[in-house]
Amino acid sequence: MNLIPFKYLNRKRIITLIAILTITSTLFSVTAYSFLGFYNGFTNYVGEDKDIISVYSQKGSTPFTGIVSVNIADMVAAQRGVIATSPEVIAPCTINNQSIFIRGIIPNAITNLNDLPMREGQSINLNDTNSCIVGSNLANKLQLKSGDTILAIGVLSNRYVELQVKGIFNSNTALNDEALVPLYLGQWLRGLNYNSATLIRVKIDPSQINANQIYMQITNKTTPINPTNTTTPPPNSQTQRELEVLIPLVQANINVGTISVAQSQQFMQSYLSRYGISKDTLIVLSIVVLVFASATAISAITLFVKQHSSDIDTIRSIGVSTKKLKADIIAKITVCALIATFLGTMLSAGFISVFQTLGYMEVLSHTIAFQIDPIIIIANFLLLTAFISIKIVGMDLKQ
Amino acid sequence: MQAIALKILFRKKSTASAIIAVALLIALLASVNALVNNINSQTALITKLANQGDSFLITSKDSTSISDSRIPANLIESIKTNPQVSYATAQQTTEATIKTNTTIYQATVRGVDDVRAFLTNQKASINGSVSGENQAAIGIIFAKMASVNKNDLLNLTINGKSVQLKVTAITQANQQSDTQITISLSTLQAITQNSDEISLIQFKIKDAAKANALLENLTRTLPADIKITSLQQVPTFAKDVNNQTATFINVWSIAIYLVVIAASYIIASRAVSDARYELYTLRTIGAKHKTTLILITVYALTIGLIGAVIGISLGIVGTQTASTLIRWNWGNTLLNPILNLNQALEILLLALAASLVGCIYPAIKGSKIITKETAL
Repeated sequence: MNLIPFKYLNRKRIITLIAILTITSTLFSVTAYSFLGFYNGFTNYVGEDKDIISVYSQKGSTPFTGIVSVNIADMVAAQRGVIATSPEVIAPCTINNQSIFIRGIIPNAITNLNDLPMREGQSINLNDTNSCIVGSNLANKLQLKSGDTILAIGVLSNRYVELQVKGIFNSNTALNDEALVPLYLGQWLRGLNYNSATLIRVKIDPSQINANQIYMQITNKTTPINPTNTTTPPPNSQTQRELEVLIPLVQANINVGTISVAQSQQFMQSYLSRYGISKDTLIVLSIVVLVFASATAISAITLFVKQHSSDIDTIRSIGVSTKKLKADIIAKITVCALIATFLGTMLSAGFISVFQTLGYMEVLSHTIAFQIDPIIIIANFLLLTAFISIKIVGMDLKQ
Repeated sequence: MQAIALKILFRKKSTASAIIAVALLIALLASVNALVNNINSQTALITKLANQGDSFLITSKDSTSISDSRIPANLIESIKTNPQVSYATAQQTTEATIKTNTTIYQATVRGVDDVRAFLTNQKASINGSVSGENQAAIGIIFAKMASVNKNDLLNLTINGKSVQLKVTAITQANQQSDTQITISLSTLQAITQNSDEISLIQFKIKDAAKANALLENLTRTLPADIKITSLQQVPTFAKDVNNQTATFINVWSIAIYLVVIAASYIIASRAVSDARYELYTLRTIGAKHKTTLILITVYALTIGLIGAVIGISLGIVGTQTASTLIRWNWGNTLLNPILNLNQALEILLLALAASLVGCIYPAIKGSKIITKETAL
């Protein structure tokens, strides 16, 4: 972009300026992508697809501490448009003094919702009474391999379980940081009875059913509150039949007032929003970081223009107006900002990936994933350009 | 002469903006660290209030699980006689082949010194009774899986040695014993022919408030090759989660210090550019090449130091002010971000180190240019 047909800017100085802008851009990108990595990881914790909904307890102050009845899975399963149900228990635990999350699942049910290709070993069955499969991130963190035996100790209960690692799986989801065990093992570690789960995930056909209709269905099928438990009616679902072969289920009372049904991402977002955390606030925080770092970028621009003062004087002396000169410098430095934004994004991707591999990018025992976001790139470029433009417009390019 | 030269550099217009550039970056670090400290201290406080658990396991120090743990069997007496211990049980676990009337299963057998006391302590519901040798309490899940009922006979084989057991109880404790066979320790030891070693001791204390003192006492008196593990690891979990947050902030700080290096580079380069005439004058009146180098470095380091001090203050004051406003508006009395002295010193030293790294190249380059001009 040449408004003035002279190469009056020194190439080495341009490279130095790009380097400084790149470092500033990297700080913004690292901050924004880390924040968003945490946010996306958390909101996608129970599923990012629009066809996954969650039945959960409103009473839980965290997504890990709510309790719902396993029977709800059976109530929901028979509905038209419901493809699969997966009751799950999320139990915070420690293994070798390291915090981890163990998820109690029904193996045949969860595979309808999440693909869990095995990296090594075998998958578990519901009747593997002392086995687990481990996500590859967790396996790397704890240096586990198939056949290893581990002792998991509960956090919310005074229970412990000895587990043999049956296999290691790869997943693109939060499950990669967790160990999966049969549902009842998760219930022990969480301190729940056999009738309870943390949440029930339901895969639906959105064209046939939605979260509200499922909630209405649960409400319609729920019996009035009665203090005594009764025997279970014949199960509707394969999931329930599998469970009943192994664990003693009873027809527990369900208080519909305490449960909610929502699309999985909304379910997790609702927890974060309780603490004032949203995607927008995290982007704003990242922008604040860039504003704080902008003084360095602005100093770099000042120095850059000062270093070219004799060239600028020469150009001014041949009749080029200040306005045109400023426009030309802005245009040229905008290209630098574009390059710096690109390099900063690449560097931040490398930065996050390296520290992620080393196991340093974890929040709540889950790895912060890097995911390119166009909003961050655009914001980065626009903010850098804005700082540069404001500074140059305000500069006095005297002859 | 150097003092005067330094004074000349500091009187340049760019000094104030240079200090602000460093101060803003350090303020970010200080405020984030103060906020993380607050979150961690709140977590620690909540952890103390949470149920810490009153049950503990004694296993061998080098073991990673129960199956590879071996501890002397006679330790149980010293635990049981401790006045602070309300309940203790010696246990041995092993894998066994179970043959029922219809099928063969692999299962874990748990030998305990007092089966009834063990199940009662687990708050298990017991359908039947267990009181004698060669009797077995079967966990509900194993019973369902293997279709075993009360009064059935099981053939249990361990390392080629078999014994016949009578199922006298079906139990449900919502614990791992629901998938296991619980028998008396003496029966299991008779099969394994090992009465000197057990897998673990599980004990419960009378007063959870005195847990730390008891654990310290036990650690002193028990053999060095054993370890005591709490069965409700709230503090360990919270500490690890806090460490993850602290590590994440430390990693993020690297990006900030990189910008501080860049800022210091600009500061030194700008000082050379702005004070070119003054530095040239200094050289002509006898200042050495090294003197100019030190002068620019000291200038950049001083800016770094002043910027870091202002930044730390700004960070603390900023977060304190913000938290006070939040408390006024929302009444969140838990918000009280504070920076430790050690952290403040660490930030200060790292900021100085980053300033030094950033200013070296322009300082060297600046002094060389001046030398060339002197030659002219």
